[in-house]
Amino acid sequence: MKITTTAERGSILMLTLITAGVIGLTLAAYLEMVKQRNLAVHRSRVWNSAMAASEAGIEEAMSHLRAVGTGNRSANGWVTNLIGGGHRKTNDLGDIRYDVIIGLGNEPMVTSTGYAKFHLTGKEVSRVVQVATKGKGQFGRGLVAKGTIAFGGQFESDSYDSGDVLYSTGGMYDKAKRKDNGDIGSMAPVANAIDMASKSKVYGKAAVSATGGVYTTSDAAIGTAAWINAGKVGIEPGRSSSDLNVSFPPAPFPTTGGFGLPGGGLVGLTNYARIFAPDTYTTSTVSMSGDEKWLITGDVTLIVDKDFSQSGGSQIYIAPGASLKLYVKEGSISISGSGVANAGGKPESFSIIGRSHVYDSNGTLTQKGLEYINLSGNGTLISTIYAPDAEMKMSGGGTDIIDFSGAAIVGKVTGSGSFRFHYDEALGRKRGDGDLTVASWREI
Amino acid sequence: MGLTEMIVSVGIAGMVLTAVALLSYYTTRSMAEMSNYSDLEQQSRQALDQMTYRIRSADQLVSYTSDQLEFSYCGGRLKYTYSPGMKTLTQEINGTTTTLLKDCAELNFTVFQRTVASNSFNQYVASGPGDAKSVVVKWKCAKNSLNLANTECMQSARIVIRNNPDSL
Repeated sequence: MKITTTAERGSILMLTLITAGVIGLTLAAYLEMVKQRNLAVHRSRVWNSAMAASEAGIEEAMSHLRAVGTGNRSANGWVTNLIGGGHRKTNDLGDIRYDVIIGLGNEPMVTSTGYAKFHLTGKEVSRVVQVATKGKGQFGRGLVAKGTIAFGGQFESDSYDSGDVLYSTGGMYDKAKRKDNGDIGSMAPVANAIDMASKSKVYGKAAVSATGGVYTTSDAAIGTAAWINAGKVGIEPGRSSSDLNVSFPPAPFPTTGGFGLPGGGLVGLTNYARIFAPDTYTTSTVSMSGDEKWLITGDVTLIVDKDFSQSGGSQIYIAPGASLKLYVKEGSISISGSGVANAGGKPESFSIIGRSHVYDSNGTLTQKGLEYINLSGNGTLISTIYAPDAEMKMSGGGTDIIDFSGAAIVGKVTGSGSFRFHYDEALGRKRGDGDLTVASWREI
Repeated sequence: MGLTEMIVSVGIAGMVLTAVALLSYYTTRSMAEMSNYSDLEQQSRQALDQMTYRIRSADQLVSYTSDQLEFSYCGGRLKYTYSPGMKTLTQEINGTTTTLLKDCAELNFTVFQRTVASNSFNQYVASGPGDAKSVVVKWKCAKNSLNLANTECMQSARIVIRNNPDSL
């Protein structure tokens, strides 16, 4: 029989304790490493969640600004911010929350603080994002088409600024002061989305969709004024892009009825067939000819069921300070020569709005909208055009030059002859009904 | 102690020592791997947090290649450069350079424009810096400690340049 001595038992105990200690330390080190790793992963996740919360606050503020427009911002749960002014809203979404402040002014600064809960420590992580806002006009670009844009002849596009005396005279286009932001854009998904032939010139940029292309031939040119004036042709590097991404929502049409067309009378030495006082008018069609004259004396809305045409020396005179919104549901609009004299010189004083086509859920056309806008002859038109499904045909001829000042969003553009398109940059700054966009984004 | 007992004792002791040696080897190797993973993941996370923070706020992409991005940033310049030779990714802000990644075996930048391709969540690849709206970065870091464990950490992220203006 083997008898174990006390010394041997002590050695075994020590060895066991040391082994257990080493294993215990190793396990503790493992667990500590796993814990630290877990903490780091969670902290990163929470840090990024705080950004999502902060941006949710920005979204909430921008939606609110759009919803209330220029009206009272104390609505939809927004309250007056007692310190610093403006309006404030908080929203708790469980693990994340945000506190967002809309500053003062028409184009306010929006500051959003996002918080995310760090469950492992019980603390919150916060991140702050501040965005500056700016007014967003419907006509942020000169000429934009849902379909193709094809120019021949002597087409030219440039820009001016009716709100800046350095770039306009009396608020109107002046070639001596023109700028080179006469941008054009097409969403057509084809290689020749913008097709410029002959000596057509775009003093600005050309943009197409990701699947579209810009094609220039002969002496056509797209670029800065300096580049084109140096006799260059083709596309100046950096003056075309293929990431245009715009939508063309149907224009809202007035739903209420209106008066029939008014009578006329003598004003000064001119005998007007119709004199429009400020109001809304409806008619089935308009066909002006000969020397027929209409006078617009205030803010007038004219709704035409089908076809609006002018020919000969007929003319609509929009008095200074007055405005005409011309809604045409279907058919075509034909304006020749100086068919509409916009005496105030502001494009927004004469708005042409065409109804969009209506499709059912299967994509079948159920109701036609405005199909054509024909501009011809020799004259000047100062206007804005929004007709997402209409083909705009511009046909000057010979010495006939059409000068168009303003901006246009249409379905398709076909240009021939001599046509000068002058984009009023002031339209891009003109804020619509509360439309604001983000001008800059900063994390602070 | 007889010969038989001696042989058995040596055998048992050898097995125990071998087990302890193997345990030590694999424990050390496992610890090295864990340590490597931890280091690589930590530096990857920090690098990505830095990049997302800066690129989101950048004004505009000025130039790019598959291993370099340069932005206009708060009135200055922000540049990310991957050096395959040094296996590093550096961030340079107005001349001040910081190393974000070490042991970076592979890294690739791809730049996309804003338009989303039809029936897809992917955007079209940018044709130039002017229409760049988002940056996708992918990298693989690898580390070998004590010639015991070769550890890899891969990262991929899409970062949107918030301030990039419209195409027109």
